[in-house]
Amino acid sequence: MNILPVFLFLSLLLPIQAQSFTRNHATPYHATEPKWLALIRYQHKILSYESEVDSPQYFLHKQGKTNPWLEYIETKKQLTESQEIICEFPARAMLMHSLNEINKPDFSTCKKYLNFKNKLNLTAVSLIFSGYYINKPASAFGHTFFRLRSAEGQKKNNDLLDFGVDFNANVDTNNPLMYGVKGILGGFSSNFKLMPYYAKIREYNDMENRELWDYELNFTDKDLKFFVAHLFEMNRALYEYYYFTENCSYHVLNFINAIRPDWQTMAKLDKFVPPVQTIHALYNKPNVVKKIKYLPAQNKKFFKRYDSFNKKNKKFIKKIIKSENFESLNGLEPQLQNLMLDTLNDYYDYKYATALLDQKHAQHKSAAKRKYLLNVMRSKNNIQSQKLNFDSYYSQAPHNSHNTKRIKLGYLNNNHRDGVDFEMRFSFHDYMDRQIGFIPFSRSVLGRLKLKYFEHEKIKLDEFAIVNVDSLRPLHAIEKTFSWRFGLGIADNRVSKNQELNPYMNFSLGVSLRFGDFLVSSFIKTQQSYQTKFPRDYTASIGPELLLIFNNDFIAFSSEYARSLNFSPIKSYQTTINNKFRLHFSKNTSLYLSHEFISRQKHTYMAGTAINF
Amino acid sequence: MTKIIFIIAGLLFAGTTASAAYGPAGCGLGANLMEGKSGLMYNVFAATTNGTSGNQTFGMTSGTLGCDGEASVANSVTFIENNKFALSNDVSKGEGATLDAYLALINAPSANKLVLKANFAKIFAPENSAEQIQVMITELI
Repeated sequence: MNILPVFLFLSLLLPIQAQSFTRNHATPYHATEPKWLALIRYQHKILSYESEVDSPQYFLHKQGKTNPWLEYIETKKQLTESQEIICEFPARAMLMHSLNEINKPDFSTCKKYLNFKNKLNLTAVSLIFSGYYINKPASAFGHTFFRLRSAEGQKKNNDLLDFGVDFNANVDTNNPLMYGVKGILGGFSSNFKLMPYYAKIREYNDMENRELWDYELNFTDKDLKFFVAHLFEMNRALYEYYYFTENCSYHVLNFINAIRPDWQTMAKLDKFVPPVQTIHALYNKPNVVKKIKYLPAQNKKFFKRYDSFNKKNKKFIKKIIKSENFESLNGLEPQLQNLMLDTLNDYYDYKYATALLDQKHAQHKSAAKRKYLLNVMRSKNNIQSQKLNFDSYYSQAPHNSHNTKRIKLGYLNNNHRDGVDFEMRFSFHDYMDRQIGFIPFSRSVLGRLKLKYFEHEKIKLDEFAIVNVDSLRPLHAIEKTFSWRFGLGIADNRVSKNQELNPYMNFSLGVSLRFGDFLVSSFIKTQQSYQTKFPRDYTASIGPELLLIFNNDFIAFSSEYARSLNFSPIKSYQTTINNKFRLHFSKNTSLYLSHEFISRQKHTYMAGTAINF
Repeated sequence: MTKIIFIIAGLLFAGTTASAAYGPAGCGLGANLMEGKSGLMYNVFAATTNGTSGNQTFGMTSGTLGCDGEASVANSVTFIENNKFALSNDVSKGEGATLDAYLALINAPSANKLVLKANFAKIFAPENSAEQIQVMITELI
């Protein structure tokens, strides 16, 4: 039976039903007001509404999740009849009063709410962006949360007296695969959580070496009162968590939207929400962000101090770190001793952050002892610490970064055949993009679709990369870290004229050296792939890989060479060469030139435009 | 095909400890404040649920928004536990935001920080607990 006519008929009926409903229920005109819809988190579906909140205790009507009219009427009724409901839903009471639906609510008997309000003593709200942490999958795209400035924090200008409000998933599995599946498909519940802001500083700045960007919002006193009332109500709200869409940043931004729907911060937000896009959404609106503050990560403080030393003193510090003997610091003149002590202190704070904070950590005692010895010496040195200046970092703020989706369209030539080169990257950044606001020389890509079309041939899917992550961390005199690359996806075999898609997985491990805007890396690369068409076979290969990158945010080029030994189906060698060039006109537009070569295939040349959006 | 099914099943039920790598941070996903039951996050939780210390921190909870007003008593011992090394840095220097925050919590914002600096070795002796540090500081100021 063809169900299309039935579906169309029912679709036509539904709006009529909805209309008749509104007529029959005393026309709750404000029930579709942006303020009401935003407060209860209603989303407009094709023919209906549905709240993103999943816990029934957030709604006063049993159909409240899907029916803003019924929820509105019930809310008005209960707020009129019950002081208890006023105390439990102070934000709704404030909104209903502002819409002239109820008398001015009296909160004087609302003990819990007033205690909560007094506890926060809110004077300002900031949206915090914590930087990228590429070595942790869940943090590779950054994170956002709130800082609630308390009156005490304001008075003392001290963030450590403030509160943090985070939105995150309640993870109930230890299995990484289940974690991924549930995170993507909405298998975890999630909610807002309140904590001291110092916990966030210790966690991000210290333990994970992530910088914090603080965007203070331009809330009025009335907004702040509404914010506290809504946060109180959020204690009842549980959400399904979707890692890519309805994630922390989405809900944090949606919270702001509930307070100030007139800012329309959600208006142009994509379905896929990397945290940095929420910063763009806020910053691009006039008068939404009041001021910006930067809190450097612990390692940034150390390197700032260390880099200010001359060669001789750097060598001296390295020697002390290696020997862990601080005696030689005693012979230094006080000024130099002060600088050395502060630098070493920052070093141990960053290098042993986790060990210092976790008393059960194997290195806790030894790290704590070193800290104690250094600080005893520091307490005997009476010179004031040198203040570190991070003003130059403000140009690297996340709101200055490029948009994370990118489309490339250009000309393609292979073996005298003309064609069209098309690429769509769903997210997020690679080392050929402008690097402002991202980790330099890094790549975090989720979903990259590459199509090729040659005259008189069919369009071919050249590659679909599910994930590409490059963590290219240059060696430092103090810090010696491996660089690595990982890729997973499907790619056309490019030999046959017909489409032949083969799954692959690459992993490279090596080291990188940085010289200003240049980075040189060398790796051992491994690749596994499976040939899906005749002759069906599994292929494994290993070999050296070299990568050179230059990027000064105006011009970028990279050259990549790999030679691999394929073990099966027959032992063979393959060479791959990849050269890329980009000319950036702005943070979101550039021209690109590329050259690709694979053994036993012809050279491919590409040129076109890349636009981030 | 059977092999593939076994591999997928194995991965699904692996129950590895790899989740520890996700830690309490991240974009919400993976944030598990109780993970490991030690360290900063556990202390924060324990302090707010009377789990171990029997005291409340300055009004936060980890699992809920902490709407009960009883939670608003500032707890400087918990502050020391969670900021011990940052606080020791500041005391050894005689200045800093962590020391200022602590002094605000114990309602002694104008305490002589140089007295604390002079007594650093005693206050932060490795064997001293947060409670002992608290007692020493309050005796000195």
